[in-house]
Amino acid sequence: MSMESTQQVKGWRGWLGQRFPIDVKVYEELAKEPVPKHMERWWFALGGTPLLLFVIQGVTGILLTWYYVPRPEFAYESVTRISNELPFGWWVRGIHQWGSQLMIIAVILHMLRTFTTGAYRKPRELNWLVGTGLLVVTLTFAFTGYALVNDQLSYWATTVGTNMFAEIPVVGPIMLQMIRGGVAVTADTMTRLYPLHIGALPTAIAALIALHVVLIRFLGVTDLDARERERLARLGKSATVKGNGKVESSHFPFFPDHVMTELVIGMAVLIILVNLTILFPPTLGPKADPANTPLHIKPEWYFYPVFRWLKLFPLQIGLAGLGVGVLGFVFWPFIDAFVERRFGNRDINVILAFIVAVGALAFILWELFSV
Amino acid sequence: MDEEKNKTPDQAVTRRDFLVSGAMATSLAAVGVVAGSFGWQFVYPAAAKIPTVQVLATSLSKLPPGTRKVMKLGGNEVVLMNTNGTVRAISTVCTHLGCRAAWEEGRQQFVCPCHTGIFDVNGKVVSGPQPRALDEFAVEIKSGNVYVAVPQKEGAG
Ligand code: HEM
Ligand code: FES
Repeated sequence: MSMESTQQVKGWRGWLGQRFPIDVKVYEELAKEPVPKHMERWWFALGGTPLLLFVIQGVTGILLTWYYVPRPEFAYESVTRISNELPFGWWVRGIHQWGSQLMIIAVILHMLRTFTTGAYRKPRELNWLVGTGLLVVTLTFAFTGYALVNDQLSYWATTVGTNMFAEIPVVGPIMLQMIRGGVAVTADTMTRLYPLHIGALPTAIAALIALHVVLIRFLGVTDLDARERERLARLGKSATVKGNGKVESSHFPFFPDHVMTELVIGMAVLIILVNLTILFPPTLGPKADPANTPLHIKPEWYFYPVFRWLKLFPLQIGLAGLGVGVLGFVFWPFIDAFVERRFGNRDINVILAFIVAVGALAFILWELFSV
Repeated sequence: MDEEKNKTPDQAVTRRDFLVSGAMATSLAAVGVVAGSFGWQFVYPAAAKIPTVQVLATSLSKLPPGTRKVMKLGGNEVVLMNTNGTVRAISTVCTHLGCRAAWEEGRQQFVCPCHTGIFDVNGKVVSGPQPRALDEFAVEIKSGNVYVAVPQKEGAG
């Protein structure tokens, strides 16, 4: 659409069109992009959930920064004040805390579904890499946020968590001091983790999400592969495979249909989030005491698998195992392609996902029920 | 001038150009090194160079053979023990991932709650994922007094 034609439009659209000359029609077209029918199922539409939760974390997080003080002398007291004195402070903090847990669950579920359905395969390998970046950033968010509270568990979790860096060959000890701003976890650690939590990580996650979405739009979401269609059809779950293989009926527009699906999931998440916060308001343990490790020490549940793993194996072996696991996870699309080329196996992802998921769940339960 | 006019595109870099860009690259690199080393000092606080200091812990008469004392020396928790006249100073920082492996008189062991690391009375690993024995600080006896060399961790605690 040229400038001339924009000028003919009356009213605010015309006014805006002259001053911000973009072609609205193009964007309307973009918004209606056809989405494969299977995206109607919540299992496939989980990508929007972490995004919603990130917005909620952003809003509640900014509210928390108004009262939180990132100094060891004041941090614990300021969190106490937020929880116990400020009107609805407990609620804001609770939403932020439960939001972080749900965000991790959402990211893991989303990852599991893209993994088990092979959505990382050519040409989407790069978007898997972006996705692993998003998982790492989300977990770093949780770790640095936990460190800010400065109660006993928070302090010792930060000590143990940062200490793992020291074992990285060659650069480890330097990295450890870089993160801690000294030899031990001190005031200088908190003033390093805080700007990470509220500045660098939000920026990083926003950039990665943007890249993630751009790549999705360029490449489209994966169509179910033929076998998956058959399986769903056998279960009587799919209306998409018509005998004549018609394509139109197997897609629906992004707006408004898919947006509607996301809204319904979003509503459910909000209901869960608010109820969790009200039923289980955030708590606070005793204040950090660098001279005394508490007897019962555990990280948050999502770190249980790593925690248990580290108890089971000698330090270096345990950490090397973790390192190999992370590398394999990040570069999985290429490993998978290699396995397929070499052995013609296209199900290894499903088998592996099953083993890892059951293993992680078992470790979480094991830790949960052991003292 | 004539020479310049005649040259073909792939001869375009003259000696003069080369020297100028070389000089520029060298100075940029020098600035980078200087700025980097200053930046490094900023990123690394003075804490990176913790001095070792010798502190007076106690006197031998207050630590007779067969006894133990848990003390705080220069910000380090230390278990001083006199075994048949030999005095040793063992640090309670767990060698696994840095929690406190507290001395437990009842069990006669150092116990770290973080990943259930256990050390014996000499600081040797009994069980758990720790890679090595607890650290030991150098002890010196001077005219009946016990001195221990510890890293001075001021403000720790
Ligand atoms: C723009 C985004 C964010 C901002 C500005 C922000 C800000 C804050 C602040 C000021 C605190 C300290 C107050 C407190 O302890 O309750 C905090 C704590 C925390 N944050 Fe965030 N945050 C953001 C995003 C996130 C995300 C995405 C996650 C996790 C996925 C997260 C996880 C946590 C956790 C686990 C805590 C400790 C909660 C507690 O026990 O109170 N944050 N955050
Ligand atoms: S930190 Fe002591 S056992 Fe892990």
